[in-house]
Amino acid sequence: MKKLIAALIVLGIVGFACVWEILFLKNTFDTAIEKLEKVDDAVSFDIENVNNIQAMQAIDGLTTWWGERRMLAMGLLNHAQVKNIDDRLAMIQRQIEINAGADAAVTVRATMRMFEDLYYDSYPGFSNLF
Amino acid sequence: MLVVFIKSLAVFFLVLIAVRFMGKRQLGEMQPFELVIMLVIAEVACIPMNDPYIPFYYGVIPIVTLAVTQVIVSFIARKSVIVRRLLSGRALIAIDADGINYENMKKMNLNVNDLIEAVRSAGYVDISQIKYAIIETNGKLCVVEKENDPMQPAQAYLPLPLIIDGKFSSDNVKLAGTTEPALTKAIRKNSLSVREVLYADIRQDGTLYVSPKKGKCFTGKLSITGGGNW
Repeated sequence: MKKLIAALIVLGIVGFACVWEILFLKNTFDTAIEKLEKVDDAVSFDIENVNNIQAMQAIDGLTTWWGERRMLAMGLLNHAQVKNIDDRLAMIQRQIEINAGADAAVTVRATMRMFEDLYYDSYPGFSNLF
Repeated sequence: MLVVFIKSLAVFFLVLIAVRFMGKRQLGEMQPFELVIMLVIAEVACIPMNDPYIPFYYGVIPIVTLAVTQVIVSFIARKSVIVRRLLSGRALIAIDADGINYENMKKMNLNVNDLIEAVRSAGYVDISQIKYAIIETNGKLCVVEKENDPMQPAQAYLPLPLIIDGKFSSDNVKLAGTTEPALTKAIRKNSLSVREVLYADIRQDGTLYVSPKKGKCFTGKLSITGGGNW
């Protein structure tokens, strides 16, 4: 009986940790997508001159925020995925700096899609259970 | 390298705790589903050790989940006969008073060679001396011998299989110093065809033991040449 109770407690802790992870990742990816939407708005506003202050501030805000979240994300996600996110954000920043508006717009949209896919992978669904 | 070393140590202790938590039975005689769980735990334990780029909990969570689930399932199986039967199956009688139980052999997916091997491994060379043989849910064989007359000295014979699953064992028939027609004739005396015989063997004194697929086993005498030298 004691062992059963211990097993149920451990199962409860694992269940709680799973739910916490899903909520944390949802919050992280939702915030990332929100900040990317700001970057997208700033880039789309004037695609010929994307290295404007709004776009630069938006991407700086995103990269700073990601820098704070990054270590925790490394503990929960595959490191290759985290490095992929790092690369994309660096790419967006550089494309904005060199005024490559079209490239920046595409990369921002693709990165938003990637965060959505990462979120879908974090909870049980059709794409990852079968 | 240090990361892999630390993860390996952590996995070692985690697996040790998990196995101890599941109970000493895991190290002894395992039921089929317990064996499966142990194999899977061994497999998932390698995941965090081999790949330093995935989170450590990718290995921890599966091990903990399997161990905990196994404890819960074992508890339920202890309380419920139906669950126990679903998980472990039932012990079945392989040999009874009528001889080899062909129906139970089919249920267990066993063939006669497997049974003879199991009987010999249990220390019984002569099937005709066995009253009951039970195959337990963990695959072990439990044998109840026939009562022997204590005044009669026990004869040491090595039975030679002549028919297995309805087919002659031609090499053994030759070795025994008899022929297939003679054997067929001896079997037909009991209104059986060779195809209806599950197992038949002969001893050095010419005693034939026949266990049909349906019906009772019986013994007979068959004349052999060569003096039973095998």
